[in-house]
Amino acid sequence: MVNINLYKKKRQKFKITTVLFLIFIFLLPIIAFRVTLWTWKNTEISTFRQRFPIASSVVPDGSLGNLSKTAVEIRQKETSLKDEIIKLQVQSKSIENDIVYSYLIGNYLESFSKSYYNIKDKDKVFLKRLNLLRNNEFEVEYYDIPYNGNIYNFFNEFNRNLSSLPLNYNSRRADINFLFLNALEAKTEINIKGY
Amino acid sequence: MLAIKRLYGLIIALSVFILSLVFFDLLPFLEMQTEIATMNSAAISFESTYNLHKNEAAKLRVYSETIAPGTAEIKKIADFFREKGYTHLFSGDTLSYSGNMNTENFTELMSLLQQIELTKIEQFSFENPISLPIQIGEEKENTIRIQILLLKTIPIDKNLIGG
Repeated sequence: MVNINLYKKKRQKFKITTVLFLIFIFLLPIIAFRVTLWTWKNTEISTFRQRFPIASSVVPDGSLGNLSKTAVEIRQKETSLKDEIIKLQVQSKSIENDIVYSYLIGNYLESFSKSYYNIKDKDKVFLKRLNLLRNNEFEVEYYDIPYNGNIYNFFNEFNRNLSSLPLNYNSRRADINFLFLNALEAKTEINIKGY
Repeated sequence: MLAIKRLYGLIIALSVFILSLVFFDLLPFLEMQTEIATMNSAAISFESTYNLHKNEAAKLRVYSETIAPGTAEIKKIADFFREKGYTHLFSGDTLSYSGNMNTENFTELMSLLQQIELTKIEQFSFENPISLPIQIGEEKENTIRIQILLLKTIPIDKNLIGG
Protein backbone atom coordinates (compact mmCIF):
# COMPACT_ATOMS: atom_id res chain seq x y z
CA MET A 1 0.00 0.00 0.00
CA VAL A 2 1.30 3.36 -0.95
CA ASN A 3 0.66 6.55 1.08
CA ILE A 4 -0.16 9.40 -1.17
CA ASN A 5 -0.39 12.90 0.25
CA LEU A 6 -3.33 14.39 -1.46
CA TYR A 7 -2.75 17.80 0.32
CA LYS A 8 0.92 18.13 -0.46
CA LYS A 9 0.66 21.75 -1.41
CA LYS A 10 -1.91 22.65 1.22
CA ARG A 11 -0.71 25.52 3.51
CA GLN A 12 -0.63 24.56 7.21
CA LYS A 13 -3.06 26.72 9.17
CA PHE A 14 -4.62 27.07 12.63
CA LYS A 15 -8.22 27.82 13.20
CA ILE A 16 -8.83 30.95 15.26
CA THR A 17 -10.39 28.80 17.98
CA THR A 18 -7.23 26.72 18.05
CA VAL A 19 -5.13 29.86 18.43
CA LEU A 20 -7.43 31.14 21.22
CA PHE A 21 -7.28 27.77 22.94
CA LEU A 22 -3.50 27.83 22.64
CA ILE A 23 -3.40 31.32 24.17
CA PHE A 24 -5.67 30.15 26.98
CA ILE A 25 -3.39 27.16 27.66
CA PHE A 26 -0.34 29.45 27.70
CA LEU A 27 -2.06 31.84 30.11
CA LEU A 28 -2.72 29.12 32.68
CA PRO A 29 0.83 29.08 34.14
CA ILE A 30 0.78 32.88 34.12
CA ILE A 31 -2.41 32.89 36.19
CA ALA A 32 -1.02 30.16 38.44
CA PHE A 33 2.14 32.16 39.13
CA ARG A 34 0.02 35.26 39.68
CA VAL A 35 -1.94 33.42 42.39
CA THR A 36 1.32 32.18 43.87
CA LEU A 37 2.62 35.74 43.86
CA TRP A 38 -0.50 36.95 45.67
CA THR A 39 -0.09 34.20 48.30
CA TRP A 40 3.59 35.02 48.56
CA LYS A 41 2.80 38.68 49.16
CA ASN A 42 0.34 37.76 51.94
CA THR A 43 2.98 35.54 53.53
CA GLU A 44 5.48 38.38 53.35
CA ILE A 45 2.97 40.75 55.00
CA SER A 46 2.32 38.19 57.72
CA THR A 47 6.07 37.75 58.26
CA PHE A 48 6.45 41.53 58.29
CA ARG A 49 3.78 41.83 61.01
CA GLN A 50 5.56 39.24 63.13
CA ARG A 51 9.04 40.62 62.57
CA PHE A 52 8.13 44.29 63.00
CA PRO A 53 5.15 44.45 65.34
CA ILE A 54 5.75 48.11 66.23
CA ALA A 55 6.21 49.31 62.67
CA SER A 56 3.17 47.40 61.44
CA SER A 57 1.05 48.67 64.32
CA VAL A 58 1.52 52.28 63.26
CA VAL A 59 0.25 51.53 59.75
CA PRO A 60 -3.52 51.20 59.24
CA ASP A 61 -4.64 47.60 58.50
CA GLY A 62 -5.89 48.34 55.00
CA SER A 63 -2.73 50.00 53.79
CA LEU A 64 -0.45 47.13 54.70
CA GLY A 65 -1.52 45.40 51.47
CA ASN A 66 -0.08 48.28 49.48
CA LEU A 67 3.59 47.78 50.15
CA SER A 68 4.95 50.98 48.65
CA LYS A 69 2.32 53.05 50.49
CA THR A 70 3.21 51.22 53.70
CA ALA A 71 6.89 52.08 53.35
CA VAL A 72 6.01 55.74 52.74
CA GLU A 73 3.75 55.83 55.81
CA ILE A 74 6.41 54.20 57.97
CA ARG A 75 8.96 56.77 56.79
CA GLN A 76 6.52 59.61 57.56
CA LYS A 77 5.90 58.25 61.06
CA GLU A 78 9.64 57.91 61.56
CA THR A 79 10.19 61.51 60.52
CA SER A 80 7.68 62.76 63.08
CA LEU A 81 9.22 60.43 65.67
CA LYS A 82 12.66 61.90 64.92
CA ASP A 83 11.27 65.40 65.45
CA GLU A 84 9.94 64.29 68.82
CA ILE A 85 13.31 62.73 69.70
CA ILE A 86 14.99 66.07 69.00
CA LYS A 87 12.50 67.81 71.31
CA LEU A 88 13.07 65.16 73.99
CA GLN A 89 16.84 65.48 73.70
CA VAL A 90 16.71 69.27 73.84
CA GLN A 91 14.50 69.07 76.93
CA SER A 92 16.74 66.45 78.58
CA LYS A 93 19.85 68.49 77.86
CA SER A 94 18.23 71.60 79.27
CA ILE A 95 17.23 69.73 82.45
CA GLU A 96 20.74 68.27 82.77
CA ASN A 97 22.24 71.75 82.49
CA ASP A 98 19.78 73.12 85.04
CA ILE A 99 20.46 70.28 87.49
CA VAL A 100 24.22 70.74 87.15
CA TYR A 101 23.89 74.50 87.54
CA SER A 102 21.64 74.24 90.62
CA TYR A 103 23.93 71.66 92.16
CA LEU A 104 27.06 73.73 91.52
CA ILE A 105 25.64 76.99 92.85
CA GLY A 106 24.31 75.19 95.92
CA ASN A 107 27.77 73.70 96.45
CA TYR A 108 29.52 77.04 96.09
CA LEU A 109 27.22 78.71 98.57
CA GLU A 110 27.63 75.77 100.89
CA SER A 111 31.42 75.86 100.58
CA PHE A 112 31.31 79.45 101.82
CA SER A 113 29.43 78.61 105.01
CA LYS A 114 31.33 75.32 105.44
CA SER A 115 34.59 77.26 105.30
CA TYR A 116 33.25 79.68 107.87
CA TYR A 117 32.16 76.94 110.30
CA ASN A 118 35.59 75.30 110.03
CA ILE A 119 37.43 78.44 111.12
CA LYS A 120 34.86 80.37 113.12
CA ASP A 121 37.04 80.26 116.28
CA LYS A 122 39.97 81.74 114.40
CA ASP A 123 38.56 84.45 112.09
CA LYS A 124 35.69 86.83 111.75
CA VAL A 125 34.13 86.96 108.31
CA PHE A 126 32.09 89.85 106.98
CA LEU A 127 30.14 89.38 103.81
CA LYS A 128 30.23 92.57 101.80
CA ARG A 129 28.64 91.81 98.46
CA LEU A 130 27.48 88.94 96.30
CA ASN A 131 26.51 89.10 92.68
CA LEU A 132 25.23 86.13 90.75
CA LEU A 133 23.77 86.23 87.28
CA ARG A 134 23.35 82.91 85.54
CA ASN A 135 25.63 82.27 82.61
CA ASN A 136 27.37 85.54 83.29
CA GLU A 137 29.01 86.26 86.62
CA PHE A 138 29.27 84.99 90.16
CA GLU A 139 31.37 87.00 92.54
CA VAL A 140 31.61 87.27 96.30
CA GLU A 141 33.32 90.01 98.25
CA TYR A 142 34.09 89.66 101.92
CA TYR A 143 36.39 90.74 104.73
CA ASP A 144 38.43 88.21 106.63
CA ILE A 145 39.66 89.35 110.06
CA PRO A 146 41.75 86.91 112.10
CA TYR A 147 41.37 87.04 115.88
CA ASN A 148 45.10 86.55 116.34
CA GLY A 149 48.04 87.08 114.03
CA ASN A 150 47.86 87.63 110.35
CA ILE A 151 46.96 84.21 109.00
CA TYR A 152 43.75 84.49 107.01
CA ASN A 153 42.24 81.14 107.80
CA PHE A 154 38.91 81.75 106.12
CA PHE A 155 40.47 82.94 102.90
CA ASN A 156 42.73 79.89 102.79
CA GLU A 157 39.96 77.48 103.75
CA PHE A 158 37.48 78.96 101.28
CA ASN A 159 39.97 78.77 98.42
CA ARG A 160 40.89 75.22 99.39
CA ASN A 161 37.21 74.25 99.30
CA LEU A 162 36.71 76.03 95.99
CA SER A 163 39.59 74.16 94.41
CA SER A 164 37.78 70.87 95.02
CA LEU A 165 34.78 72.13 93.00
CA PRO A 166 34.73 71.91 89.23
CA LEU A 167 34.49 75.55 88.12
CA ASN A 168 37.40 77.89 87.56
CA TYR A 169 37.72 80.71 90.04
CA ASN A 170 39.91 83.65 90.69
CA SER A 171 40.50 85.10 94.14
CA ARG A 172 41.96 88.52 94.65
CA ARG A 173 43.02 89.91 97.98
CA ALA A 174 44.02 93.22 99.47
CA ASP A 175 45.55 93.45 102.92
CA ILE A 176 44.25 96.09 105.28
CA ASN A 177 46.57 96.92 108.09
CA PHE A 178 45.37 99.71 110.31
CA LEU A 179 46.81 100.16 113.82
CA PHE A 180 46.27 96.75 115.46
CA LEU A 181 43.84 95.54 112.84
CA ASN A 182 44.91 92.91 110.35
CA ALA A 183 42.22 92.32 107.79
CA LEU A 184 41.85 91.02 104.31
CA GLU A 185 39.46 92.34 101.71
CA ALA A 186 38.89 89.53 99.25
CA LYS A 187 36.97 89.08 96.07
CA THR A 188 36.33 85.71 94.48
CA GLU A 189 35.08 85.43 90.93
CA ILE A 190 33.73 82.07 89.85
CA ASN A 191 33.43 81.41 86.16
CA ILE A 192 29.86 80.24 85.46
CA LYS A 193 29.81 81.12 81.78
CA GLY A 194 28.30 78.27 79.82
CA TYR A 195 26.11 77.18 82.72
CA MET B 1 -13.92 29.32 8.71
CA LEU B 2 -11.31 31.88 9.90
CA ALA B 3 -7.82 30.52 9.96
CA ILE B 4 -4.30 31.84 10.09
CA LYS B 5 -0.97 30.35 9.24
CA ARG B 6 0.18 27.91 11.88
CA LEU B 7 3.46 29.79 12.35
CA TYR B 8 1.64 33.09 12.87
CA GLY B 9 -0.75 31.42 15.26
CA LEU B 10 2.14 30.03 17.26
CA ILE B 11 3.91 33.40 17.22
CA ILE B 12 0.75 35.18 18.42
CA ALA B 13 0.16 32.65 21.21
CA LEU B 14 3.81 32.76 22.31
CA SER B 15 3.83 36.55 22.17
CA VAL B 16 0.76 36.71 24.39
CA PHE B 17 2.44 34.23 26.73
CA ILE B 18 5.69 36.15 26.90
CA LEU B 19 4.03 39.55 27.30
CA SER B 20 1.73 38.19 30.00
CA LEU B 21 4.69 36.61 31.72
CA VAL B 22 6.55 39.89 31.69
CA PHE B 23 3.68 42.23 32.60
CA PHE B 24 1.62 40.06 34.92
CA ASP B 25 4.30 37.99 36.62
CA LEU B 26 7.86 39.13 36.19
CA LEU B 27 7.43 42.88 36.65
CA PRO B 28 5.00 42.55 39.62
CA PHE B 29 7.38 40.00 41.14
CA LEU B 30 10.37 42.33 40.82
CA GLU B 31 8.29 45.26 42.05
CA MET B 32 7.13 43.25 45.03
CA GLN B 33 10.70 42.25 45.87
CA THR B 34 11.79 45.88 45.74
CA GLU B 35 8.81 47.02 47.80
CA ILE B 36 9.38 44.33 50.42
CA ALA B 37 13.04 45.30 50.68
CA THR B 38 12.09 48.99 50.98
CA MET B 39 9.39 48.23 53.54
CA ASN B 40 11.71 46.06 55.64
CA SER B 41 14.42 48.67 55.52
CA ALA B 42 11.88 51.36 56.53
CA ALA B 43 10.62 49.14 59.35
CA ILE B 44 14.13 48.37 60.65
CA SER B 45 14.95 52.07 60.68
CA PHE B 46 11.57 52.92 62.24
CA GLU B 47 11.92 50.38 65.04
CA SER B 48 15.41 51.61 65.82
CA THR B 49 14.10 55.20 65.94
CA TYR B 50 11.13 54.04 68.01
CA ASN B 51 13.45 52.41 70.57
CA LEU B 52 15.56 55.55 70.71
CA HIS B 53 12.40 57.58 71.26
CA LYS B 54 11.33 55.16 73.99
CA ASN B 55 14.71 55.50 75.72
CA GLU B 56 14.69 59.29 75.46
CA ALA B 57 11.14 59.46 76.81
CA ALA B 58 12.08 57.12 79.68
CA LYS B 59 15.12 59.27 80.44
CA LEU B 60 12.95 62.38 80.50
CA ARG B 61 10.45 60.65 82.80
CA VAL B 62 13.29 59.86 85.20
CA TYR B 63 14.41 63.50 85.01
CA SER B 64 10.84 64.59 85.62
CA GLU B 65 10.75 62.52 88.82
CA THR B 66 14.21 63.77 89.77
CA ILE B 67 13.31 67.45 89.50
CA ALA B 68 9.87 67.11 91.08
CA PRO B 69 11.16 67.97 94.61
CA GLY B 70 12.26 71.34 93.20
CA THR B 71 8.66 72.53 93.52
CA ALA B 72 8.77 71.82 97.25
CA GLU B 73 12.12 73.63 97.55
CA ILE B 74 10.89 76.84 95.98
CA LYS B 75 7.67 76.60 97.97
CA LYS B 76 9.69 76.32 101.17
CA ILE B 77 11.52 79.55 100.30
CA ALA B 78 8.23 81.22 99.37
CA ASP B 79 6.85 80.12 102.76
CA PHE B 80 9.89 81.69 104.40
CA PHE B 81 9.18 85.03 102.71
CA ARG B 82 5.49 84.82 103.57
CA GLU B 83 6.09 83.90 107.20
CA LYS B 84 8.61 86.70 107.64
CA GLY B 85 6.27 89.15 105.98
CA TYR B 86 8.45 90.09 103.01
CA THR B 87 6.62 91.16 99.90
CA HIS B 88 7.67 88.84 97.13
CA LEU B 89 6.35 87.51 93.86
CA PHE B 90 5.67 83.79 93.63
CA SER B 91 3.94 82.06 90.77
CA GLY B 92 4.51 78.39 91.59
CA ASP B 93 7.63 78.02 89.49
CA THR B 94 9.22 81.47 89.84
CA LEU B 95 10.02 83.48 92.93
CA SER B 96 11.44 86.94 92.97
CA TYR B 97 12.24 89.33 95.74
CA SER B 98 13.95 92.62 96.09
CA GLY B 99 14.17 94.69 99.22
CA ASN B 100 15.88 94.90 102.57
CA MET B 101 16.27 92.08 105.04
CA ASN B 102 17.65 91.93 108.55
CA THR B 103 20.73 89.79 109.15
CA GLU B 104 18.92 87.14 111.16
CA ASN B 105 16.46 86.48 108.35
CA PHE B 106 19.18 86.85 105.79
CA THR B 107 21.28 84.16 107.46
CA GLU B 108 18.22 81.93 107.41
CA LEU B 109 17.65 82.70 103.74
CA MET B 110 21.28 81.90 102.91
CA SER B 111 20.93 78.65 104.77
CA LEU B 112 17.85 77.78 102.71
CA LEU B 113 19.62 78.69 99.48
CA GLN B 114 22.54 76.42 100.35
CA GLN B 115 20.18 73.50 100.75
CA ILE B 116 18.46 73.80 97.40
CA GLU B 117 19.52 71.32 94.76
CA LEU B 118 16.77 71.46 92.18
CA THR B 119 15.90 75.13 92.06
CA LYS B 120 17.83 77.50 89.88
CA ILE B 121 19.17 80.71 91.34
CA GLU B 122 18.92 82.70 88.14
CA GLN B 123 19.93 85.95 89.75
CA PHE B 124 21.03 86.90 93.22
CA SER B 125 22.57 90.17 94.11
CA PHE B 126 22.94 91.81 97.47
CA GLU B 127 25.24 94.16 99.27
CA ASN B 128 25.76 95.44 102.72
CA PRO B 129 25.20 99.17 102.91
CA ILE B 130 27.57 99.71 105.83
CA SER B 131 31.34 99.65 105.53
CA LEU B 132 32.07 96.53 107.62
CA PRO B 133 29.13 94.29 106.87
CA ILE B 134 27.53 91.32 108.51
CA GLN B 135 29.37 88.55 110.18
CA ILE B 136 28.19 85.27 108.81
CA GLY B 137 26.56 83.03 111.36
CA GLU B 138 26.24 85.67 114.05
CA GLU B 139 23.15 87.64 114.75
CA LYS B 140 23.74 91.33 114.48
CA GLU B 141 21.32 94.15 113.93
CA ASN B 142 21.92 95.18 110.41
CA THR B 143 20.07 95.34 107.12
CA ILE B 144 21.10 93.68 103.92
CA ARG B 145 19.97 95.22 100.68
CA ILE B 146 18.88 92.50 98.28
CA GLN B 147 18.77 94.01 94.82
CA ILE B 148 17.32 90.91 93.26
CA LEU B 149 16.72 87.30 94.11
CA LEU B 150 15.23 85.34 91.26
CA LEU B 151 14.59 81.64 91.70
CA LYS B 152 13.06 79.27 89.20
CA THR B 153 12.16 75.62 89.23
CA ILE B 154 13.60 73.46 86.48
CA PRO B 155 10.99 73.50 83.73
CA ILE B 156 9.73 70.42 81.90
CA ASP B 157 7.23 70.05 79.09
CA LYS B 158 4.82 67.44 80.43
CA ASN B 159 3.36 66.90 76.96
CA LEU B 160 6.61 65.31 75.84
CA ILE B 161 6.33 62.53 78.40
CA GLY B 162 2.62 62.09 77.93
CA GLY B 163 1.05 63.91 80.84
